[in-house]
Amino acid sequence: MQTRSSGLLSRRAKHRIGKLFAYLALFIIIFVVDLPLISMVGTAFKNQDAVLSTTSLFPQLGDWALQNFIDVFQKTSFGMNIVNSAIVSILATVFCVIIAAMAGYGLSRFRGKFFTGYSVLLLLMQMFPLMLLLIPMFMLYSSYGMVNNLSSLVIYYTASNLAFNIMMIRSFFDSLPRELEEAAKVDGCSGFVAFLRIIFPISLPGLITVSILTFLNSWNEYTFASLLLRKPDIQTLTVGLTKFVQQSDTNWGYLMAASTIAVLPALLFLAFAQKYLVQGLTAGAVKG
Amino acid sequence: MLRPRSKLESNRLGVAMIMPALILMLLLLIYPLIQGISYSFTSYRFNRPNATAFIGFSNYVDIITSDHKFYSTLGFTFLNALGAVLISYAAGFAIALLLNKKLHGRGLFRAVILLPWVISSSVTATNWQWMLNDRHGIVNAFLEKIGAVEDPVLFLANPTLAKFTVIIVGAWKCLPFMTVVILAGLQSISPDLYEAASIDGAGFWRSLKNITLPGIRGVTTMCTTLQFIWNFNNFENIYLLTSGGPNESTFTLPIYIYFTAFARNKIAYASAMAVLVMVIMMVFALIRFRLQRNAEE
Repeated sequence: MQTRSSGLLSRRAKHRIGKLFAYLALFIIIFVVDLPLISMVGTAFKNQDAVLSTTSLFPQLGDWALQNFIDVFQKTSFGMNIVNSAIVSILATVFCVIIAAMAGYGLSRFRGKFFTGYSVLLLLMQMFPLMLLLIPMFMLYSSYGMVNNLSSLVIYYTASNLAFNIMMIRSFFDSLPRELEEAAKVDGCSGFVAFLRIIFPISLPGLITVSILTFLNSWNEYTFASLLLRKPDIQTLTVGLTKFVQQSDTNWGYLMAASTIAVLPALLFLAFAQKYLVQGLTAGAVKG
Repeated sequence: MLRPRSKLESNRLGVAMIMPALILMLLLLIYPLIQGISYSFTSYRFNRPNATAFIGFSNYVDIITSDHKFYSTLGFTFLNALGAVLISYAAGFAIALLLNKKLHGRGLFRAVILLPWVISSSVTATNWQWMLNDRHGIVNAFLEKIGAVEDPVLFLANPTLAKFTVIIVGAWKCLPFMTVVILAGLQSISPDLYEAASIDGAGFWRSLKNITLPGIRGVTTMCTTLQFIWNFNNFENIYLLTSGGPNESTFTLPIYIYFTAFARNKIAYASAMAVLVMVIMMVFALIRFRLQRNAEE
């Protein structure tokens, strides 16, 4: 008995040490992984001289300054860029999720050659390389005079997120029992009303997941926006950010302050809707 | 129970529900794609649109027989995707093992690990440029302080080092995905298996080899192939970090195609390269499909 209990104790101690080690390792890993972002925030709060003259991660105590943030809004068109990004991302998300929810419902509840063919098309759509789409899209948009026009971005983000969203929403609908609508139909609802009144509200968690992903995709997109938007006050924030670098000498203070603002929506989603984000990430992985 | 009329009626609703999405995709994705493919058989140049002629497979023949840059770029595109996947898988696996322990604040740790994934490449690229800056960056400041180097390391300006840097940043970008997906895989393994193994006297490494790795085989196949394809096809990450430089040393195929189309105006030639990339991607997709089927069996 004696030896056994001491063995148990030492095992518990070992367990404790193991846990302590795990915490330590995780803190170090997280520090290293997030270092680019930590240094971004630290630099953003330095004053203009300190940005280039000090290499500390954060400003000296008492030297924290908001000047970079104020300047970015007062001296550059970055404020306008944020407004543009917000408009484009919100509109694209609303359009895309509504259209995808309808199509997802169609795929989930109906069978036939038409629906099978459409599913195959959705799968194929995700295999095309971006560049094969980008070149003709650019030619098309410029021949219709849609350069420097935010609505062309809304259209593109709506379309480009559709395939993925339809497949995800479809899998949410698949998990809902058909009896729900059957009951509504017995009560005299038409098919579409049953969808609107019954299915749409229950699948809200799924729709939130898809909305967050679509919003972030649109908010973060750079390539297409940079090709299509040439005027500074019509550009979105990802394009606006790169403008800080392209000037012969980069104003790192401005750049880091603007970048810090640019990541705020992502941080908010991560803080308050992590569950949905992780769900989207893993579900997307299985579907994609 | 299935009355023909009601079935027809309900199918009509289904078709109607799909129509908006279908029309949007046909107009905005499929039509341009077909146009892109048809460009590749012409001599179309952006600055001389009137001199366009149908030239069949000439662009393809040119690329395959005499474009050395296409091959060297293909090589780095492949190396970059493979390197980023291997590094991020190894790191993601280790982090997932740690997160799989019963720790306090696990959700918080996972959220913080996810950060690089939810942030735009425009932001992450400039953050890395700032960190790796030769005069003001904290990485060089740190290396000089501990005496590891005497002169600042040119992470992005030295052609060989830049390749290495680009791969590391690519791995960093994939890491959140790898970690979260592997963690989900680990959590699906029954704890009973580990208990049984530990009763049989199996240590950490033997459990790892005989329980953990087989248990996440499906997840491993899925996340590595998916991230490989994603990296192979990605444009923004490297373009924003190095613009393909210095001296085109970090050119990947999407960047090469982008410059060919939009800087040198060779729309047709670039489209032909994009079609070739599509063919390569389809081969990858096929391999992925096979691997996944094997993993499921």
